[in-house]
Amino acid sequence: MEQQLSQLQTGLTKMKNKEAKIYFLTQDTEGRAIASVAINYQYVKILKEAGYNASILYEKKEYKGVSEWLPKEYAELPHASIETGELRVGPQDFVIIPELYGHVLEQIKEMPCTKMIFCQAYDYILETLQPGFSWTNYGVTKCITTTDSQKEYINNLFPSIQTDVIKPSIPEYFKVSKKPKTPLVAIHTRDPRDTMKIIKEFYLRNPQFKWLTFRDMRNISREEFATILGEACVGVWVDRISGFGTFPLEAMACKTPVIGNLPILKPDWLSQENGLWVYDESKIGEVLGNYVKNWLEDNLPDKLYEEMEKTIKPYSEENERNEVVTYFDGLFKEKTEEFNNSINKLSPVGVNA
Amino acid sequence: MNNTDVTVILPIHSVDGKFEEWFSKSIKSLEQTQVKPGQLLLVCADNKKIKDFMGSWKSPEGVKTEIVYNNGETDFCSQVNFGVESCETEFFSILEYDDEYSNIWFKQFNEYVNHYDEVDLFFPLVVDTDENGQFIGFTNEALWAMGFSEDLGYLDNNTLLKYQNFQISGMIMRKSKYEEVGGLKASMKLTFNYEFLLRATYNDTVIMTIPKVGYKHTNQRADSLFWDYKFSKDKQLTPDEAKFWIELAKKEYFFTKDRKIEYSV
Repeated sequence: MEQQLSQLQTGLTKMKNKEAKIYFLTQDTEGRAIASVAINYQYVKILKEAGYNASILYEKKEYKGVSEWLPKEYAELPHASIETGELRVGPQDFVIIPELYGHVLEQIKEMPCTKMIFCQAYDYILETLQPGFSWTNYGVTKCITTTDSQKEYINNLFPSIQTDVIKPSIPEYFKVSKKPKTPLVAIHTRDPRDTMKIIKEFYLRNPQFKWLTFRDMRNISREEFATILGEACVGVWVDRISGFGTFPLEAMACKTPVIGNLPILKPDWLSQENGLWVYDESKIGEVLGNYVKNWLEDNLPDKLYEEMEKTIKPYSEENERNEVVTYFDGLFKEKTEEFNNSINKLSPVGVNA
Repeated sequence: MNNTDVTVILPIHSVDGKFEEWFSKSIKSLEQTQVKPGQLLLVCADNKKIKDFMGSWKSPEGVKTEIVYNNGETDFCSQVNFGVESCETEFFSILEYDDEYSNIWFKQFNEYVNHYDEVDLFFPLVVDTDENGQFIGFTNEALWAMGFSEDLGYLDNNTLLKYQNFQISGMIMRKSKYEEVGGLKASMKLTFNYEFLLRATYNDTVIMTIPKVGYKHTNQRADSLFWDYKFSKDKQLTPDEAKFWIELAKKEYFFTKDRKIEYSV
């Protein structure tokens, strides 16, 4: 019992000193830019700046990292690998796993830490879970997600898991281009086939606009991505299973209107007036043709730009920082109380008195 | 800014036929621009019929207008050169009497000239229409096609040597550069437009297309000069003749002055 008590007291001290570890398990993108991974890095950066002991955790020994597509300061954040045995945790520590990594839950089931899910794409939740199994079977108690609609979905699936929403931010390098916009269409689709389909259909439907250039926004660094998006006259977005919808918000931050299909789960920020939304992606070529005609005639409604500006406001880096830090402050406070309670229970009566 | 440092030069060679109808539309388009040009300069052939017409004509609202009479050569090129000599603004633009500006053109120019002060000549995106106003296609747009020219949006000499179809009506050009390059050459009867651009790019004129609709050009008007060369039984050019005029432009653009070589059309 004394050993247990000593472990708890050590853990408590680590909690109080913010030395308890927070690991964000992260996918190896092998050099490709992926918004959900960028968010993990952003959270680790925010927590480090707030004095927490946060790290990026990856599975294999080999890990390409993000130096090719995220600014240098992200690549320099602390990293740890599961395969090389760097993942050593105690009851005071936290491991945060993406929803897609259900298979890792089995590996870390017995680890004496708090296991949490970071769900950015609800559609992947069931992908790696065994039939009949829930996150609770693996000791998961908490979940962070990015929208209220995803929170509701998760609450329905796993009612006993405490789910909270933290809104991601759109980095400040997504900004309005200093020069006027160019006749360039920035296109971002989940399935690469959709990109080519939309481009070909657009040219067939609108031969008068065959001089317009499309830019596939796949596999480019985040800062170049932001520059192109700032220069483009419109963004096209197709992602039916999107959980949050980062691309449209990034485009709005650059004052670039978006034409997109409505995702199955409507993102919290999406309104009828802040973009041109279609139910059926086969309509995108037609809507884009009309949009381009109006853009060339400088005939787009001011209301669209006003709504875009309003939409993007809550997604500032400052808001995100406050939400992340407040959430983890609360988590540490809650865990400190748990530790105190356990210590009280294990300590002799006289000591408690 | 409510107006812009541009003189609009509108050459008038004759007031016969449907002139009045076209001209009214053209002037109305000027009145409707969101930002007005600094001046409208009507360069008229010096004859009684035109003077009578202009005497009873009411100048447009909100646009400072001046009428000048040219008693020299009254072909399109000479009229434009005469107009440029008379204008006192930093930039000028050419408006043909049967064409129209879009209401955003000068507003767009003001925005672009602030960001691209190295540019000497801004093309508008030209909407070509038939006589009934039906859309035919765009002109000057190709500069924004990826890989078309050396720099996206800009015209260079190499690109012009391969592709001739650019429209100078509606363009806004720096007067000093126009004079440096040597103006339009009247002797280049069919390809004065092309020869001028070749010469301009050869002399380091920076040319870009503003990717906004700036000008409506009436193409294939039955009583126009180029209609005859394209469609008239007697005057239609053979492919070899058309090629001759293009090749001639490619030879002449090295000379700043019009060498006044007489070729009949």
